[in-house]
Amino acid sequence: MQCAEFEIRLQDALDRRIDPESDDRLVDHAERCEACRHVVYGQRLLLDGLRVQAEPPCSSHIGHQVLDRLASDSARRTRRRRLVFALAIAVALFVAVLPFARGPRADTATARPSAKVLAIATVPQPPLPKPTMTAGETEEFRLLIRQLLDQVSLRPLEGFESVDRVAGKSIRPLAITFHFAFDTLRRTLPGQGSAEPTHPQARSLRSDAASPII
Amino acid sequence: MEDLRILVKCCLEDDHAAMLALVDRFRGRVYGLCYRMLSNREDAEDAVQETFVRVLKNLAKWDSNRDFEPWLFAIAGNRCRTALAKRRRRPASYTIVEPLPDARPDEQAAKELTEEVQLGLQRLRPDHRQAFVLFHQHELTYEQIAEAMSRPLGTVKTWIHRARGELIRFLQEREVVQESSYAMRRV
Repeated sequence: MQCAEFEIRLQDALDRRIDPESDDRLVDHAERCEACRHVVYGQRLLLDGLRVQAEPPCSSHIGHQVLDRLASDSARRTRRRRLVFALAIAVALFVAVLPFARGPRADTATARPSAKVLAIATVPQPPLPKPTMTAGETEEFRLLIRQLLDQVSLRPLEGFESVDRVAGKSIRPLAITFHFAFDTLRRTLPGQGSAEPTHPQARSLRSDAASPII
Repeated sequence: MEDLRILVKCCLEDDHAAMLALVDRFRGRVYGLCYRMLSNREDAEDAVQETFVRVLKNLAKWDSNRDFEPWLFAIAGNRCRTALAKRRRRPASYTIVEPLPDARPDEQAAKELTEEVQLGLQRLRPDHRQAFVLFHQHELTYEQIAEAMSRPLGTVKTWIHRARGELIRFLQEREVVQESSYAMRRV
């Protein structure tokens, strides 16, 4: 047997937990080869040393120490979970309250586009032509409106009187309100610019309801 | 194995007595590994404590169809490697092999041999040391060690062979292996 084969066979014996000195072939080789004999002897010493090797006794309280550690770890985990929960609530509240705590929006001015941007974005519109009427059209329009006002004025506003009576002084009399509206219309008619304005409050429609307004 | 499953089931139901029983059942073997890995009683006890805390926290992850010990030793090995890494980071880190209690004169040689073997173990790489201790002291199979260390079977075998070779060379350097005291024996 060669030394290499001896080495393989020795490791195999040790792997199978067999005493190398129970293998005749190993022993035969070791008796002839000093280096391999040293190896076999070294293995024997090593295994003997491991067999008798005693470690200091382990503390018998280790079980209770482990349980204490588990309990303290669990308590720490619970505390951490509560802290995280409280933080989450605080953040949620802060986010919810923030818009109310800000006051008027400070970012509206900044959000508004600048004049330059507006100038670019706005398409210039051509100016609208001024409405113009010919003199004949104006006169025709004035006559139509006048006829309409005459028709309205000829009818007494007795319908409003009953309402004004019930309302008393709590609202402005409807007859005055309508008179004022008609008067304004009459005075804005083309060609009526010089007409003397009528102050409805100066006249008592209640006492002169039947007289034409215009 | 069946009683272990029952014990684990009780532990999962938060039964403190069962937890204590589980720790008591395995603490010696776990401590043996941790002590061999760390060579220091306090560090070994801390590692044992860490190991069981993790074991009990993660007990639900243990596959009851597989052996418990490889899983347990995997956790213990990881704790020991973490402790060794921390020790390396400490500025004044050094390892003292704790002297064993005084022995009678006829036990003196065995005590010295034991101390030499422990010194030799400290010189091994941590993963080689763990594999060696699990095989020779805890008598786990190669398959179980490979599972515990999450390494291929061939790698574990190589590590153990190398560990044996390095230890024998160390014992020779320390003149523990002496020609004069040696004669082959046929068993």
